[in-house]
Amino acid sequence: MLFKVSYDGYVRCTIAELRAVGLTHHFSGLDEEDNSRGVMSTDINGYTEWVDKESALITIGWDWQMKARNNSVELIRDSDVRSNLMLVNSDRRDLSAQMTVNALALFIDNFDWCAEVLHYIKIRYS
Amino acid sequence: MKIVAGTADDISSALFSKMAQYRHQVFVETLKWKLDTAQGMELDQFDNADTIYIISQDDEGDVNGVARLLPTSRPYLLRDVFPQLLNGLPPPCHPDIWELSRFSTTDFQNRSLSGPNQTRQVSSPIAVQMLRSSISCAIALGATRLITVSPLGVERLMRRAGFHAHRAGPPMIVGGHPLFACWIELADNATQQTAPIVSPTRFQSAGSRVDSAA
Repeated sequence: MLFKVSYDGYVRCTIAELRAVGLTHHFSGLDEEDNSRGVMSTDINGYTEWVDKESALITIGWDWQMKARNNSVELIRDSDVRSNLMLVNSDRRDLSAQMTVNALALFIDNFDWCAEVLHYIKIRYS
Repeated sequence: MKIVAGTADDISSALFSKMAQYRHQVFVETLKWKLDTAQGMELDQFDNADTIYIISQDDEGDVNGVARLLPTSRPYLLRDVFPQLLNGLPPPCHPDIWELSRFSTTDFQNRSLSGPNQTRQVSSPIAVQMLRSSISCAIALGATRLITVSPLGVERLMRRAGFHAHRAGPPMIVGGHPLFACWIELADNATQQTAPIVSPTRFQSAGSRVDSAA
C-alpha cells in the first residue's frame, strides 16, 4: 500500500489498509503539571503519538490517563483520536471526519499500545 | 472580555505594546522559547504592516489572549521556519489560506485557567472565544482555510470545542516540545458565534457583531 498526502493535507485509506500496515510508536509524554493555584493533581495524564509503519506519513495521537487496576498500572485512552487521516470506503469515498474519528477510536481500543508507551515514559522520565 | 482585531496601524500603540509584552511573558519567559527580543517585547520578522492581530483584554484592560494572522501569499512562520511539519507537501501559498500563529490565552492576572504549559496552555473559554474570533476575522479577510503551527494542547482545544481541524503531518519535537501543523477548515467553522470584535469594518462578517475601531 503506497500512502500519499492529498492536496488538503489528509492521507486517505481504508481501515483495512491501515490495519494491514500497522502503527509504530513515535513518541509519548506526560502532561506538564500546572501548580499555579498551589493545587497538585493526583492524576497522571499524558499523550502518545504513532505513525504508520510503512511511510510515517500517517499520524495518530491521543491522550491517556494512568490508572491502577488489579495491582498493576494501566493507561486508558482519555480523548478522541487525532490524526491526518480521512478514512474511505471500498469505493474510495470519504467516510467523513466524524466517522473517521469513531473508526479510529475503535481501532486504537483494540490495539496493544499501553506496554510500549509505559516503557517509553519510564525511560524518558527516569 | 473585549476582543480587538486589526493591523498595527488599526490598534492603539499602547495596546500594541501590551500585546508584545504579553507575548514575551508567554513565549519567552514562561515557555522558554529561544527568540530574539528587546526591552521585554516579543516581535519577529513576521510582525509587519500587514499582520493582523487579535487581542483579548479583561475588564481591567489587561491582555489575556493574543493571536496573529498572516496570508500564506507572503512570508510566514510555517513556511520559513517549520516546513518539515507539512509531511512533504509544499507550504501553501494562496490568498485564501492564512496562517494562525502566536496563539495564547494565558491569564496572568487571574491564573484561574490552566497555566501556560505546552500541552494544556489553551484549555479555557477565553481560548475558545479567541479561536472563534480569529476564524471570524480570517473569513472576513477572504480565507477559506487556516494553517497553524501549534503545541499539542491547541489540537485538544479545537477537538473539545468542536472545531473542524486536522493535522497536516506528524508532530515533531522542537526545542524539547512537541509541535505540529494543523489545518482548520473555515467553511465548517463559520457558524460558531464569536465574542463581539472591535475592529475596522473590513472584518465585518456574518455571525459577529463589529463596532468601529477603537
